[in-house]
Amino acid sequence: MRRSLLFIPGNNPGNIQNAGLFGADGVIFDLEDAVNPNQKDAARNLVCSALEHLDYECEKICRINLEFAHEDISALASTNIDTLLIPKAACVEQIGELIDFCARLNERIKIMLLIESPAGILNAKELAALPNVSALCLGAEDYTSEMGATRSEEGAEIAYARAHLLNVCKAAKIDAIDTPYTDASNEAGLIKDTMHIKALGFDGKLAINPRHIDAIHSCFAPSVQEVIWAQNVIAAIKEAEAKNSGVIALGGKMIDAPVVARARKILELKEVL
Amino acid sequence: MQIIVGTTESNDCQISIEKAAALSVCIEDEQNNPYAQHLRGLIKDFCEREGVSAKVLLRDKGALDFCVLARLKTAVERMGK
Repeated sequence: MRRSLLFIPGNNPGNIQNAGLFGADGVIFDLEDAVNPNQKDAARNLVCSALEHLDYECEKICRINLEFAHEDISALASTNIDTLLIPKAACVEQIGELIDFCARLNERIKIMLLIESPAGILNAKELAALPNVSALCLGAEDYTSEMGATRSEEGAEIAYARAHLLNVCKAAKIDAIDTPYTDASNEAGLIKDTMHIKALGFDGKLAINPRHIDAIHSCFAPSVQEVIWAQNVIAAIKEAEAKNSGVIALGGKMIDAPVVARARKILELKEVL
Repeated sequence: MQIIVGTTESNDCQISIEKAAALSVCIEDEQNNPYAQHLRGLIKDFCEREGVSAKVLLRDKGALDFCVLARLKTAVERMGK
């Protein structure tokens, strides 16, 4: 489950040692944007040491640097990191080489790709098909900057990127993770944005503020109405099976396989939560 | 040449290191740090294991072991054995 993935600055020991306390489904130790260029080695050693000495009960992810990708991957390959987040994913050959390099050192490590450019969106289908890729994430700030667009609360400028990335992920059967909500103090805006991307079909959302985690989780939790509907769907199926009835309906609407699958997913999520 | 790694922010530590004929470890404000003996042992063990001969000064701001070891490793790498 990847409802929330929280970025943690990779050269800040206080944040790193507390990273697991915020309840996020995954923590992303950031070796890239959150670290000064002259401290890359220090951050790499700090994150690797934390992975060796501290326990985290959530998914452990590390955003590496594209510029120092081989050094980062080499260091992380001998740790218990679960997933690497490769930023600025656009060139299929370049990303494919890095994934292959990682797999040769440690084939257990999963890959997430951060798509944050128009070229990355165009190549998303090929990127998603690379080995070990388990999710694509949208990075809207760099994307809109390169598009020459202005970020807005409504997000019309990233609608195409969201829709394209989402369609690619669903076709490839991997997770689709949305861009972070960057206004730390606007919880109403965060909830509106998260409800929107949940309705579109996204599996989770990146987060840059620990205070956003609870709100994101509450958005992804099934509502009471959704749970009641799902329970009624399953009950209707069982009743039809008992009667050997071929046609199943609920409230005048026919229940077919996709509806049943959606109902089961809602109930499974309720059980996990 | 003296190498300095880390910060003096809370939960961090700063390691100053320079090459020397023999290993020596100094903990700043040692008498007020209840973990001074543990930290000294941590640093000595690392340096002896890695064959590091240097003068090491630790300025501790409440760092956990993982942080001290990471800062020390970076300092040693930057100094060069």
